[in-house]
Formats: sequence, structure tokens, C-alpha cells
Amino acid sequence: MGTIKIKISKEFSEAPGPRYVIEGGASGELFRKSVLSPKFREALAGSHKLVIDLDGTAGYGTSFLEESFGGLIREEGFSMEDIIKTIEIISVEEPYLKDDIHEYLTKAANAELVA
Amino acid sequence: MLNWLHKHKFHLLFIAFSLCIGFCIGKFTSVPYFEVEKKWNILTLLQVFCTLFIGIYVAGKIQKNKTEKDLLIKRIDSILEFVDECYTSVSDGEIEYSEAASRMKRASQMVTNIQQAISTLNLPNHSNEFVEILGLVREIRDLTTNTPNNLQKQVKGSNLPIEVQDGIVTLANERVNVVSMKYDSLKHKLLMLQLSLNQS
Repeated sequence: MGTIKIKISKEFSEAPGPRYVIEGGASGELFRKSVLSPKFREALAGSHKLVIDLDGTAGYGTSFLEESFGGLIREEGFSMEDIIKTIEIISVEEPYLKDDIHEYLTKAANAELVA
Repeated sequence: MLNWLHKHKFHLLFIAFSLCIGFCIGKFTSVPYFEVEKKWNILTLLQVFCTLFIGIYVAGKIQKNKTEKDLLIKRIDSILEFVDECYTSVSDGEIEYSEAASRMKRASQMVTNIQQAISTLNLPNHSNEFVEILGLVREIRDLTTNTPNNLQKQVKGSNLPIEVQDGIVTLANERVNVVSMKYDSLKHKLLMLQLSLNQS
């Protein structure tokens, strides 16, 4: 079992933007579609761990993170179980972001169950 | 040894001066009903030196703690200034999305740095105050950067408290009021932290 890494500040942007592409640059939607989702698929297919390093950016808005991670369930159709099993978050600068992301995933999964 | 003497020269001068005064008073004055003992018991002498040592040690410790607390309180002052700046930037209801996010990251890091500094010193940790302060910073971040997704937009129609266009967040008046209240609470909590640090 290998490891795939994503460092958002290097591979995407040092200043993450809003939720959708139409709302502004470096959006959560763009990050999910161009970086997160392809790497997640690759990790899932090869039973690898996907390590996402959140440090080094200017800061994350709530909707950027919600769209990136909650969108994996809502828009891409991945299961909460696979995400929890595969993704590992590193956030030394803002440790509470791990809990926030878990909360976005839980809400998205619950919304899917209701729908 | 020389270093120690240099570092404590004022204390030593003060002790020497006090001994001189004591000697002079003993030599040149006579207080009725009191008599100056010409011989000193070694235990009394030890007692005097122990008292002096404890006095100097306690005074030094209190001074050191006061200096450290003053530094932390000044640092919280700079957080309060930054929080004021953040509030001004959002008070007219418009702010750049990435700026709103980065300001909140900076605020939470400034608060966390104070918390870490306190934990390295022997001061009470004030953990409840820090949980509340960081909670408020996160609430403000959510209020200023949590824009609705497409489903929420459909449900709420045009009555949205927050919108983003070209990377600029626009807040409705009601949302600005809520954000203002959160900033007031944050400033109050920071002030209370300063006060309790000062008392500890």
C-alpha cells in the first residue's frame, strides 16, 4: 500500500478561493475536479493512502473546503467510508480544519441519505 | 563568579548599604529598654542570610513573571488591533474572499501562538478562554466565507445572506450585523483574557 500526496499550496494555489469556478479563481470546485478527484480515484484504485497537506496557504474559506471535500460525496458520488479510509489530512497550522472537513463530509453523506 | 557578581551588583550593594545603616544605628544610637548584642549567634546569622536570600529570590521571581505577563498582554493588544482591522474590512459588507479567509487564519494563529507561549511558561493555561476565542474566530470565518451551494441557492432563492462574484464576498445587512456582534464578543473575550492574565 503506497502513498499519494497533495500539497495544496504547491499543486493548486497559495490563496484558495471561493466555492465555484464562476465565483472566482482557485475555487474549491476547480480543486476538486482538477486535483482532488483524479488523485482520489487513483488512490482508491491502487488501495493507496491519499495524504492531503493543507499547510502553507494564505487560509481556507469554509465553502472552498466544503465544496472540495463535501463535493466528493455530493457531486462525484464517492462514499464516506471510502473517503475516511483513503484520505489523511495534514494541518499543523490550523489543526481544527481536520474536524471541519470531517463535519462537511458527514453533512454531505447525511444529505445524500435523505435525498 | 564574576558574572554572578555583575548580575547581582545592585542586590549586593543594597545588602551592604543595609548592613552599614544597621551598623551605624547600632553604633551611634541607644534606644531605651533595648540593648545591642555584641556577639552574634551563628544560627541567627544563618537565619538573616536565609531571609535575605528568600526575599531576593521571591522578588526576582515576581518581577520575571510580571515581565512575561506584560509581554503576553501587549501581544494580545496587537491581536485586538488586528481584529479591529478585520472588522473594518468587512463592516461595509464587501470583502475579497481570499482576504477574508486569510485574515481569519492569521487571527487564529496569533491566538494559538499566545496559547503556546502561556503553556511554555508556568502560568495558568486559560484553556476555556482559548476554546471560546478560537470558536468565535471560526464562527466569523464561517459567516464571511461559507457561501451557499447550488441546492441551497435554489431553496433560498434571491434571499441570500452571503454571495460571491469575481472573488468578492457581499454580505446582506443582517449578516453584517451578526458578524459585528461576533467581533464584539471576540474583542470582549480577548479583553477578559488580558484581565485574567493580569490577575494570575
